[in-house]
Amino acid sequence: MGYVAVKGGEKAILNSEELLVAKTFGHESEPIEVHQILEQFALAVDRVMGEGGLYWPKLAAYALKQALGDSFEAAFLVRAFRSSVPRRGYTDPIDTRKMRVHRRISAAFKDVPGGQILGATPDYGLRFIRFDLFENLHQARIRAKKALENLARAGIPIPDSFPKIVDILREQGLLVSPPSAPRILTDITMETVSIPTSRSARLQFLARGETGGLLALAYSSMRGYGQIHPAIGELRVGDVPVCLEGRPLGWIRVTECEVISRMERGEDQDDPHFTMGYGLCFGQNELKAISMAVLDRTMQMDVCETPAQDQEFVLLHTDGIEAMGFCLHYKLPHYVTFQADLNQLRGVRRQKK
Amino acid sequence: MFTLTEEVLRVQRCYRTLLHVLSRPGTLARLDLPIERKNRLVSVPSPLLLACECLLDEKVTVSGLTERGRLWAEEISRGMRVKLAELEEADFVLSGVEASASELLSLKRGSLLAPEEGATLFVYVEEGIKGDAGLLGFAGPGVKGRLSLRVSAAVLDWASQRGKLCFEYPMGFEAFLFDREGNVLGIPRACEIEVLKPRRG
Repeated sequence: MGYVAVKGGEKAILNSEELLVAKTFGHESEPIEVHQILEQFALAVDRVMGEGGLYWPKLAAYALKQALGDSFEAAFLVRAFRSSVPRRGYTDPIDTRKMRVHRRISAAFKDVPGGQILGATPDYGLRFIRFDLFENLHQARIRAKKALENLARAGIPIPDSFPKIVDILREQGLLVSPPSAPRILTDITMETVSIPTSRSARLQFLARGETGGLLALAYSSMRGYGQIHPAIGELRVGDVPVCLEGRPLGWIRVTECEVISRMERGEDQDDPHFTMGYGLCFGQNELKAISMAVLDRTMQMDVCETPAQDQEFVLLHTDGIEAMGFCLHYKLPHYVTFQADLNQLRGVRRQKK
Repeated sequence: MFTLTEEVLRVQRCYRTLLHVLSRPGTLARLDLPIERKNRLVSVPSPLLLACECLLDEKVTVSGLTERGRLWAEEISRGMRVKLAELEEADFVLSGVEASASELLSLKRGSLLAPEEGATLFVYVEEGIKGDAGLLGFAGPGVKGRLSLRVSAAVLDWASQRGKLCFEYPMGFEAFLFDREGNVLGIPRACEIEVLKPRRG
């Protein structure tokens, strides 16, 4: 390896650490409390939990605060913490049919059984910065409270559970049946995974993937470097119960997406069928869940002609923490490698003369 | 759903301390032990229990070396659902200080391809790590030049046994020595330890 151990500069490094503490905790303005981050930067917290691979909103909020809002650094802190705590076992499989839905939409059918639940979303509005609300935050809070009260008075209670769109398609024989679950799932946090890998491992990689990275590759497929033009069968955001050996532990918020893709002839079947891609991630992160589902579907293709169909390309380049670590390590001393390059260049020039 | 309890924070501090001493061989640090002892796992000394709570779980295996070490390992296995394993197979080994070189040689040392599979040894020193029995010298990665530490007779004896071992780098095992006050000493596989002033008699 062309690296050299860092010797010297210890005092400068210690001073740098102190400066970072000052930058992080030495503000002149009032410190932002963790509960404020949890409430007012909820989507950033969700993103950090997903990429860090640990569901603990408060910890993710601490990490975001310490990382000065840098989601990569915050996810790194969370994943490092995760690696330092003992494992107590695997939770039972989660049944998302039991989800307490905050939002549930289908882009495939308008009149879905149970109805479309839009929830809170910026999807249908204009992207204007709401100076009118910022200018009078007190009024904005009163308005929000009133709006919620009015909606609650006028609204119909949301059912405890909703039927799944994909189940309806399956009942009609229009969608391929899900593969039977393998007896033993791969655990990518404990095993060295070789490519090609199992679907369970692929979905785990995607669930911890960096949102932007997943989006870039999914988008490449949507634009034409692939053949996936997804229809969102169903997108859900809500809370699901988590149990360990049958004992309830609590609820976690997740986003689930099922995309329906082009027709294919199923195995041993003459009739063409729709196929499906699946995404599930911590918290509310719709962009990630959709990207996951698209990439899950692209990686199921028999052919491997585009980056999004290539398991190695997708899985090994979308882990934000791995990619960030590799990218940032170039800032560390490479004196020996660069000295070798310099010597080589000078040698070549000497030979030319 | 989860809260940052004092227990979680203590285990985090313990983790930090273990990292600290392992990267600075020859330097003692002190664990932040709980004031009140839990009722379960009564025979396992507090510092050893805290380190086990920090590093052991269902995904690793544990074994014991020396009579007390085996007793502690069995208790940890029962209380923390850590799988028991043979000494040669265990990821973590709990031991009294009286282990011999030949016994230490039985520990998993990993392979050239997978050195991370080497064991981690927790040694409990009843009489304390610090003492006036002799001087122990430390050299290798994490030590600027050479460091020396005054230690008890028990540590000196253990170090002389450890000094008899020779592994092909990067194979080997990491060791942590604990005492009842919560002092902890880390001895990574690449650390050279030498008895500089042996005990008299």
